[in-house]
Amino acid sequence: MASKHNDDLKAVIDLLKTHDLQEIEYKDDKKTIRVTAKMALPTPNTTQLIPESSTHTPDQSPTNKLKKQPELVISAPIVGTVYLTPSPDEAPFVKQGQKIRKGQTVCLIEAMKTFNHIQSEIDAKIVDISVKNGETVEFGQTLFTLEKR
Amino acid sequence: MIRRVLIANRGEIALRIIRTCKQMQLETVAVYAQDDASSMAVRMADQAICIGPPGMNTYMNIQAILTAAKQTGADSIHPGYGFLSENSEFSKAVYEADLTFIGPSSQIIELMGNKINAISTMRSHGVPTIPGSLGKLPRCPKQQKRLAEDIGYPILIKAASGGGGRGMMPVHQPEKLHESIHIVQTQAATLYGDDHVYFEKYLQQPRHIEVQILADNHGRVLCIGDRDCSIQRRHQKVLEEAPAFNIHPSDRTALYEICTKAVREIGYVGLGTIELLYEHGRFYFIEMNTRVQVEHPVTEMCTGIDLIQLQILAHAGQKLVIDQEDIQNRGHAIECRINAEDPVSMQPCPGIINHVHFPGGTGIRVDSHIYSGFKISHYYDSMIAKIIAHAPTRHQAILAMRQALKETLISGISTNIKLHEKILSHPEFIEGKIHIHFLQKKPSKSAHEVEA
Repeated sequence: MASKHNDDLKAVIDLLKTHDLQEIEYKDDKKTIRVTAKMALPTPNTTQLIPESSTHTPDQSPTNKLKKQPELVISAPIVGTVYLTPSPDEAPFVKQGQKIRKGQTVCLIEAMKTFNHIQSEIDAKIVDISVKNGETVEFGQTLFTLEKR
Repeated sequence: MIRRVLIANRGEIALRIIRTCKQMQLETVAVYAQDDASSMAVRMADQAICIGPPGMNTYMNIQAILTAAKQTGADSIHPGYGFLSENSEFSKAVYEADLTFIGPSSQIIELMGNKINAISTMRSHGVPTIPGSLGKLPRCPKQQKRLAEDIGYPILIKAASGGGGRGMMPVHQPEKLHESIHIVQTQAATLYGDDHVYFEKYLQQPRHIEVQILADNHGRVLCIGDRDCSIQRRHQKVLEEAPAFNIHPSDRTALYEICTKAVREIGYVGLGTIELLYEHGRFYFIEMNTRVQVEHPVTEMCTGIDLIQLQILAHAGQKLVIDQEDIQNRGHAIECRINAEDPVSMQPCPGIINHVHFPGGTGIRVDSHIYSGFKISHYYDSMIAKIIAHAPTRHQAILAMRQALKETLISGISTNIKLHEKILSHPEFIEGKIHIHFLQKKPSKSAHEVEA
């Protein structure tokens, strides 16, 4: 009995998928099966972080676009001068493509002769460095773009 | 020398300061909180720099403002009103950063910021003050009672660190004295972290009169007219006028002489306002504001003087080239503060302005930072515009203002325009019978239209 029920359900879902339908309702004398496409489509075995390539039949609904991984950035918590190196003669704190750890200093921002260490809040890879050494940065300005790892 | 001015403020006053700077060919720097990114001040300034997240604290952040000044090469900072304008630490920090503060020194701000010190200082320089407890109140309840009786009921209990109408309470009967002292002390401790209070004679129906002063650092002090700001609600000014009418010319001359002398003696430099209460032909000093006032445009309309310009010049170290005799009052001006507020609850009403149209015509001035599509944030003051009407007489100014309010269209949010219309058509207001409690008895339903 249970297996018959599942077979019916599977058949209904397949029908919905093949014809790219929004909703489908199947009725017989004992039961009614209704399947809606909106939330029901993604199969349960995909990982939680869904890169757009792995999804099947990507539709154009706005909800799907929102699922795109949000851009991870480190932004300036204060206004000041940004320094990408610990001192003028030293190598930069981080380079593009470098893997960084949570708590690692990525740059300094000087405000009123105080040097503030700016640290990453997550383990990540530096995808882009958006500021130049010695540049003035505003509050909220993007300093680094990251990729989660 | 002042060449590049950073404006440590927002809203209409930031725009107001930028306008004068442009006319003086000074460069301007706007600092702003994230949610003010599309403000008019940010658009109009030569440079703009975001210094913090949405909210008041960003405009109170001394370190961020000084950093922005350094980064943008500003040589001076104009604090506007509110925020850091009367913060002595800020004045000091600006000075120590080798920048010019367009406001008085930290010592003067400190002196005038503490009400008790301000009153005793002014009294010692010959300015009349309200009878009251000299200095802080004794802790002993019996002494407190005797002091109140000496002054004579009703009395007003005020917090030493209070201001803006908060932390004060009138007492009409001796039985309520101790209970009221306790309430004000508790309020003061919470609001200002200082529970010191003092007594004052409670004037029944005084007018709020203030004298605009300006001093350079070469010893010249000017009284640039006076204003009546009696129309207040919860001690916040709602409508202001210049000049203060129905004051005998000889009383005014005497008042100016007293103010000039006191301001010179305390070594004041810059723009300032001496606020007084006026009842039965007598003036009583209440406080001095060491900054530009919201209501400064009414004085500008009547004198033809740009107060911000003279303020900047005074702090640039220039000698004022105007004599007291050069300052003439022409006509009468009224300012209505337009607030985004619910007309019934009178609570601030944040939201998006769908559409705005401001009035025009002879003698009409609008100081405002809003535009169609502007978002009024709940973080800041609810004042969205100041409409000013100037005409040869007070009666004509009232008529001009009523027309100006009719022409004003603001949609998307609620405003207090109706309240202003009621005030302006109230027979007692029209006759000039106003005092600081005028709005407490509601500008009534009995208010009828005057003949146009």
